[in-house]
Amino acid sequence: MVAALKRTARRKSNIQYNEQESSELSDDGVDSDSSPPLRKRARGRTVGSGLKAKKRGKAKQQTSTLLEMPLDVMFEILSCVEPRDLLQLSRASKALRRVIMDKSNKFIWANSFAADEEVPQCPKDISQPAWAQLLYSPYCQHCYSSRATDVYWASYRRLCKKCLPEVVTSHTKAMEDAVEIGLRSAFNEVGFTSFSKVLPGLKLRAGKQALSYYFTDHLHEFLEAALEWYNSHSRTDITLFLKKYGERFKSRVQHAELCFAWERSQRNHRQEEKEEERTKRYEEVIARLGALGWSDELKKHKDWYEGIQGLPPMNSFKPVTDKVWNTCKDRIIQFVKGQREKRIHAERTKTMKTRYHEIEKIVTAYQRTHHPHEFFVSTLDVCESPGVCESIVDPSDEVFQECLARIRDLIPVTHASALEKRRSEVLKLLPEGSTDDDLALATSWFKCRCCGQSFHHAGAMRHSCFLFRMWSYRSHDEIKAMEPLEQVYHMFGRGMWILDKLTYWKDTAELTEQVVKAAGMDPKKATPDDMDDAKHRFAVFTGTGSSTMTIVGWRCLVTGRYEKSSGKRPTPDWRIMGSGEMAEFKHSSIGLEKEDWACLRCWKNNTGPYTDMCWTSVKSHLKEKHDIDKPTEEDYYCMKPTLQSDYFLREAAKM
Amino acid sequence: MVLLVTSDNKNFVVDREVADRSVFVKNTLEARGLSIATPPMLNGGCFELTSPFLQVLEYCQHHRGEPLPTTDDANADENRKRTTDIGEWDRKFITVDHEMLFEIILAANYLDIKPLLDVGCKTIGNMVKGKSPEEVRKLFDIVNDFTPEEEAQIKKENEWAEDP
Repeated sequence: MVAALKRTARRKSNIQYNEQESSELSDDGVDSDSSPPLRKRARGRTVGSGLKAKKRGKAKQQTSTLLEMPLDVMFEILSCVEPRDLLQLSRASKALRRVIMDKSNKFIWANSFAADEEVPQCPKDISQPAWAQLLYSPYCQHCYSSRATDVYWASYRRLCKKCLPEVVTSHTKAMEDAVEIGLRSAFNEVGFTSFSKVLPGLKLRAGKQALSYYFTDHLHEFLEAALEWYNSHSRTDITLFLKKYGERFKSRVQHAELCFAWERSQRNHRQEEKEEERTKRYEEVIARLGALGWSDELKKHKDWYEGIQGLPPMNSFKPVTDKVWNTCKDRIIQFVKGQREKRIHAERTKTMKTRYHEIEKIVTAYQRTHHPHEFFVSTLDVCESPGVCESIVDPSDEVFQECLARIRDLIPVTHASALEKRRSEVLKLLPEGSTDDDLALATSWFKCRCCGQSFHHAGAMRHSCFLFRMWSYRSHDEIKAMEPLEQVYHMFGRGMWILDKLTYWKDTAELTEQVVKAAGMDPKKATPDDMDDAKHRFAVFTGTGSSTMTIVGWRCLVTGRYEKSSGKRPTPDWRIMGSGEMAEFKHSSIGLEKEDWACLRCWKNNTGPYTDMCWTSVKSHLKEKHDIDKPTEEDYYCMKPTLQSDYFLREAAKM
Repeated sequence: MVLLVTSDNKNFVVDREVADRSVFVKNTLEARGLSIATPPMLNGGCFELTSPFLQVLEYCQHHRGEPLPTTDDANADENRKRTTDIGEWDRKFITVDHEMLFEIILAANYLDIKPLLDVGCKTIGNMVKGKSPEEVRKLFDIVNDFTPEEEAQIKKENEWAEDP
């Protein structure tokens, strides 16, 4: 049908040319039979001829070859142009607009639309240019300024979010309008309560509710038609009218669904195209960088694609021509240089970390020769030894290997010096006149002001809070300029061991003194191990009545861990329990599952998982890995020494 | 062999098979029973035939022997427009400056060589693809004769022009 339409129109237009040119041709003395009837060049009828006539007498205009084309050739050309481009061409000049928007030339649009089978068919009640505008123009059809992505296909319009409320009417208002023009009884008779089956609508949010809205012009058109029908049919019921209107609306909705599917496929297609174009540009940029001698650097990175997306020419749709490349070359090269710097820095950091972890393995093996609750040096402590950090940051691997060979010998020395240094530092926190022996007493309690953890001197000396440093960004150059030890510290966000966050816990020390005395020991001699070995239990009363009694170990009592809330606690009301009272739950394991445990065998052998385990897991671990059915205290240990045994005793007391 | 004489009196001797790519030449030869066809000389300066004619001959040489589209076949007429794809050789062939492109289109139209006319028109179609009005103007040296008000107005008007 389209072809027939086109042929008819072409014939029509060519008939005009033949009439105009017949005299011209006969003047030339050429046999009119020999010339092609439809394909003569029409000097007098070109696209731009009308325009030229208007401009006559003014300054000389530069005429476009396109506008000089005879009309029949122009029709051939325009028939090969897509509807989207026809729309743009019609806005390029008045002459082109005249040709393209002339209703007698609508075969151009028909051909153009017919060339694309996927595009939804133009509805009968809308012109093809208007349809093309709806399909392809991204602008709001109300304000014509904002870009709008929402197309309301059933009502043939594209609207921005700002304009939408201006062109719709709420359901309530629509009903009020219907009542106002006298359709109340007509609607009531047939039970018509919703416009959703006859009009394209939408839901808009009003607070938590989503209300129905209808396009105002459609609504008014419907109401007027309904009223006219109602009046012209002796005010009988309007069921038939609603049925007809509903059928029309149904076909619109079906068409709208097709349009929506087309829109979605177009969007996907455009996305794919964009990606394809982007890949092309990317490949071009990479090729040009390669030509400038960056090939080796480019190969060292896994993917440059994401990195250069934000840079010109990647962020534009222009192909990478020589001109485009020259304008953005410097930025791209600058970026590549930056990436090279990052890569070198990352490789250096990786090497440093690998070396550090090699040292760490040796240090860990050394740590495992001590009980986990004892003091031992960390890898960072070892790094402080002369030459260690220098070897970590040294580019040469040989230097590091030489250093690694002497690490084992360095560790005991570092351990001794660190122990000596820290012991003297911690000693300074004790009351004046205290000696080294006082450090080992059960009454010598310390507390971390940072995390609130409490411990005796061994725990204090290896507590990790005293190594943490606030990490701050440093540029690659700044890091390079740092001392080797500082570089290692910066890499891990750590620093040298500083005791500024440790404090002597005087209140607890005083309470411990009373507890030690109650246990029948001398506070000036009793060590924490002595107290642990005695396995005394204490009843703590946190309120009135026996139900508030909690049974705890000595550590739990003095550190106040039986209290649910932290903060300043009152001096507890407590008493030591007699041997008779303790006998029934002293060796019980009830409640053990609530604690975090670890395998002491794995720790010592430096094998297996050195992680927190629940009581059940540690038991099954010991059975499976070490073939131990009945574990003793030699096989496992509590990850939190201060809580050891307190919890299950408390649980036992409740039984 | 056929002798073709252009409007500027240049002679081209070509195979009949090549000459027959032009429906105009073919019909003329068949009607007159002659081996010499002289395209009618139009008013001076209509187009200089020599330069595009060489291009046209090159096209006809390349596509010699291929079936000619039949004028009555409506589907063929439809199909030839349906796609904007152009063959590899044709694409290279038609990669010429705008002036020459339009001359080839005019020559193809005049000599009634539909496939070549299509290649030319599709090339123009591809050239304008995705371009804004401003870019189209720049591409074809079109003067913007809309006032800013008119330009704003035509964005809103997309209905058929009123008959004068």
